[in-house]
Amino acid sequence: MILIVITIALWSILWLWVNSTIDMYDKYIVNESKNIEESVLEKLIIEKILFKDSSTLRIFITNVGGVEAEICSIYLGKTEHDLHLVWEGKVRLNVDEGTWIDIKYRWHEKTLYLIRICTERGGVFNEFFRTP
Amino acid sequence: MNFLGRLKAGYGTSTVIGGVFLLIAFIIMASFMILIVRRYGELTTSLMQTLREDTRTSELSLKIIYTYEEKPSASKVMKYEVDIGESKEVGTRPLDYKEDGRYIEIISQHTLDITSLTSKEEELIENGEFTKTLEPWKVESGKGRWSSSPYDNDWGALYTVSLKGYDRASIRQSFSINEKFEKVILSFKYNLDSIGVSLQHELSLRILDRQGKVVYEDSYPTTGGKWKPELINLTPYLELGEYTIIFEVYMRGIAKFYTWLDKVSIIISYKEGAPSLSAETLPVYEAMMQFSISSDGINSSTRLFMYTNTSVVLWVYEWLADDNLWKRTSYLSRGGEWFWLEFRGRDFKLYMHSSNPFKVIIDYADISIEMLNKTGFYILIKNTGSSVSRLVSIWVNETRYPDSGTMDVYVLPTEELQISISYELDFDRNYLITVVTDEIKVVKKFDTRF
Repeated sequence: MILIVITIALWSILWLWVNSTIDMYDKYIVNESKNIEESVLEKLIIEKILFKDSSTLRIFITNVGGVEAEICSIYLGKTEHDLHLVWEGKVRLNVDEGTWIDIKYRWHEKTLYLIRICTERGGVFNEFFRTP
Repeated sequence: MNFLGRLKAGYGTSTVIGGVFLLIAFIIMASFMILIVRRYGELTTSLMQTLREDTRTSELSLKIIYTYEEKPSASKVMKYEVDIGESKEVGTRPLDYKEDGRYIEIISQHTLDITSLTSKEEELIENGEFTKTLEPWKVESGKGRWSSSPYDNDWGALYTVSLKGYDRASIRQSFSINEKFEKVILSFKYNLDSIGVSLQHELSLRILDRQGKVVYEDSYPTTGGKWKPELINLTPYLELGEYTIIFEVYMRGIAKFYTWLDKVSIIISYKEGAPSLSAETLPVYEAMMQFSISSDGINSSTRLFMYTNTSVVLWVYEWLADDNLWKRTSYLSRGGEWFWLEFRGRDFKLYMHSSNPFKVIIDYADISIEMLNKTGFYILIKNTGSSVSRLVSIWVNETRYPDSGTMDVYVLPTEELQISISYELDFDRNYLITVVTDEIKVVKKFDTRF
């Protein structure tokens, strides 16, 4: 009788532990999967770059991905190893939404530049362009 | 049941309960593992699908249609002038319709006669190029041999000999001067080379008269394998009569000697009037017309339906405004037949000439003018890639279509789509069209300069 009571008690403890652990891992896996899927679905494109004056650029960024995205920083430079932080902030873009972002950067004529847009989710979107 | 029996029964019960407990625990753990594996499996499948989609190439081709065609009648937009020749209009608005009995007739004008000019210069040397043969040169070989040999895509006379001691060889040709001349110029080039110990390698030139008397002589040392040209004015040394030109090579040493000779030429220039070759006089009949199209079009092309009664050379001049030049294209009509002649641009000329008098009939002018569609244009988008293209936006210079959001238009591989853009176009401007998809940007330029 005592053995049965002990077994049931142990079983109950184990069940509670396993249940909570499974629940925790399931939530973890679901969240992880969601994050990965969202990262994969996240996509920003630079539609247009306007060169207003020698120290200002206007870029039009559109969210063409499947999830909303939040732009947190923009880097600009001549090469990948020479990128400078030119804009920092928070711009949330819903799916299919676009926005203009003004950047202060002294650019040179007829030069190839790399622009990198980073999102809160960790997405990185690069684009090359040549100045007029 | 005694104590031992009860204890055994208790153990058995415990073992069964423990076993069930372990089994349940194992099932729970296994389910948990299966759940994790399934979750990661689903995730991997989803990622693989995304990657597979991304590996497909995305490609678009663009065509911008910003003009439309107008076909005005010639009487409304075309003017013409006849600069050379005579013209006659049969009927009113003669070029508006084809085969309606109304036309323009152009009669050629006899402008000038061309007399073929006779040559006053004559070459006295035959086969001075030594091309493939030494004929009619006469050779005297010592220990080596003369041959016509190729070099640097050309031919020349070559004397080769491997020598221990000395050798002598010559090549000669006779020529005669029968008429009074103004001047006689001899030219040739030579190349003397040797491998080994060369003590002497010399080329001598002699010109002998009929009696064998030397009228001119000179000698040339080795050139070390380089070609050297010579130009000699023989005028003071020659008179009327027969002569022989002799090139003689003398070699001494223990070596292989190469003696090259080429481009031997004696040009004789005769005094005025002699010798007289037959002259031919060719009559020239000409006609010339200028056409101009007046319209607001970006481009125009005109096809004339024409007839010539005899074979006539037709030169079409089209004005290239960008280059500030007339471009000429030549045609030859067969005569007695109708044909189409095409001209591009707003201004063009038609010059016709023949050695016979001729008549030209222009019956119809088929004019096509490309007009600028000022209210907008069409973009013909073709998906030439292997993935579905989703159009996000179209930019015309700095204007975006649509203003906000995305177009959200899908173009399947090989599919073609025509999109109308309302954008006011103006003359003399550049336009940059950017079609943005979720994968690529395709850019096309056009201008509205005429």
